[in-house]
Amino acid sequence: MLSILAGMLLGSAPAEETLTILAAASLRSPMVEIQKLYESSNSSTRLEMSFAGSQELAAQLVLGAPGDLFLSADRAQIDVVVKAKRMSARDIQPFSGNRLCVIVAKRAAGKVESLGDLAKPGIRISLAGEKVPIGAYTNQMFAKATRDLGAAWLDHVRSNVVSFETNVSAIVTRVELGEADCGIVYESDARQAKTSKVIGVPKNLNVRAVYFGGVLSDSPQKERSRSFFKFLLGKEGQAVFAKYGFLPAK
Amino acid sequence: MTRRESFLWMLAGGPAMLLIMLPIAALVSRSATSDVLTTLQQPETNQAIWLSLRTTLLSIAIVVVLGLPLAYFAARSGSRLAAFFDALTELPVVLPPAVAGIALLAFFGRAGWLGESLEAAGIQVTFTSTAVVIAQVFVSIPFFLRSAIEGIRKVDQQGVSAAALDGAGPAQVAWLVVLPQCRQAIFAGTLLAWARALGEFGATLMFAGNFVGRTQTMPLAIYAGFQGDLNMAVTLSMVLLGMAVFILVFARLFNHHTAT
Repeated sequence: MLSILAGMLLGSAPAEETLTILAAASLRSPMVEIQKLYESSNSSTRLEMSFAGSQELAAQLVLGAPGDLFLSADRAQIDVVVKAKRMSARDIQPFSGNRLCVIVAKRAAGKVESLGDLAKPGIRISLAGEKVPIGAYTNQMFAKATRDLGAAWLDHVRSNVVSFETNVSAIVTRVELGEADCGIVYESDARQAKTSKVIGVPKNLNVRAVYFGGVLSDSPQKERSRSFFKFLLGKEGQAVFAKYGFLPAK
Repeated sequence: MTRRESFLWMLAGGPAMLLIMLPIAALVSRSATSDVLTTLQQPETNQAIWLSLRTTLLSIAIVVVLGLPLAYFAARSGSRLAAFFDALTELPVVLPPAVAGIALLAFFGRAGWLGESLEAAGIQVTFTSTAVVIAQVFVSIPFFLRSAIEGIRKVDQQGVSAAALDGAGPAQVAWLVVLPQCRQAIFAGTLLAWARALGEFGATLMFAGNFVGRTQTMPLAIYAGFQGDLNMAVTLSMVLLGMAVFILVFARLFNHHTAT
């Protein structure tokens, strides 16, 4: 009786033709569009997508979560999955890129005008943890910026951080709500964020984020997954990424 | 119940029991390979434990001090408002913590009802340990209220009337007659509320954010550990499991003590 009930309420296992894609939180908008595009031209394939911080998805995969394709916002988290033997290193390919910028909340308009202003006393900055790709890239950018702005600048910035989020979308939300004055996110996030201002990070200090993806070795439908990944890498997929402010992978 | 009957019921109840026990046994066995003692000494783990202890002790003090008068009113006043409060105190019990997080942001957040004026006065709530305590009080106070209201309601009305006749004032009646008779219920409610406060996760994450030593309590540190340092997650899970067992045993012992 309970098993019948469970069957009714939980649904059956995903059908053969459904691909489970674990994707970095910053990929949400382009991936949703790519899903529509792909499903309309490949009516036999359904996509199910789960968005979260890449490190969170990697942790799920290490613990045995099922999946067909993992799209990570950096190399480090895909390596975590390779190390756990869920993916083969030769299956990994870069498929998109991004840059960092600072978004400023409406209520903090005028208070933050440049990277230097992040060190101003009383500014509330939202960042991500060091294992989250956006957090790791931010640290790389800080290391470069310290050369221009000084070590004291970085100390002040660090003391202004109010919270470490687990994915870039949470940083956007904190800034949109105005709970944080500013946050460091990808340029693609900044395009859609409802904030007062986007401050670009100078080219010599910026970091190029590279997204890596790969089909999981134990995917029950490797061929189908590979052909979707190829679509992402192809003209149509790349055009959608570009539309949302992503850069080419190389 | 005959022995045979008891055996059959045990078999029937077995699956539910195993569903509770096996994952916990697996957690304990995992901790054996996770180097718990070394992890316990790491600063991040340590700070999470201390932050949880400091904030929950304060939360519980607030819960008892603010909760007692409300429980007393809801239990003993015959007014419609009391009945309404009585029902309302159950809401946070069934309210998902994520909803609590959004609600707290709407009230205490920088653009919130109260948060806006607090901000103007230079008082920051979100992202501080104060926010952690507020979230804990919000989610745990109903557990205290439920237990206290029930206890106060069971107090023998005759004794109360006699005391009042002897000239005891309302405060004296409450403090010397009613409350001593429901110590047990109040204590049980306090323990339950403490356990709930220790486990509070969703509302804290949304409302107080995540910052080591400031707002990263044990449950938040477990979640952070899950994304990279599983040892820390397992170690802190063991600490929380230990505290949960301690709270339960303590509550049982106290019950037993007062019953005899």
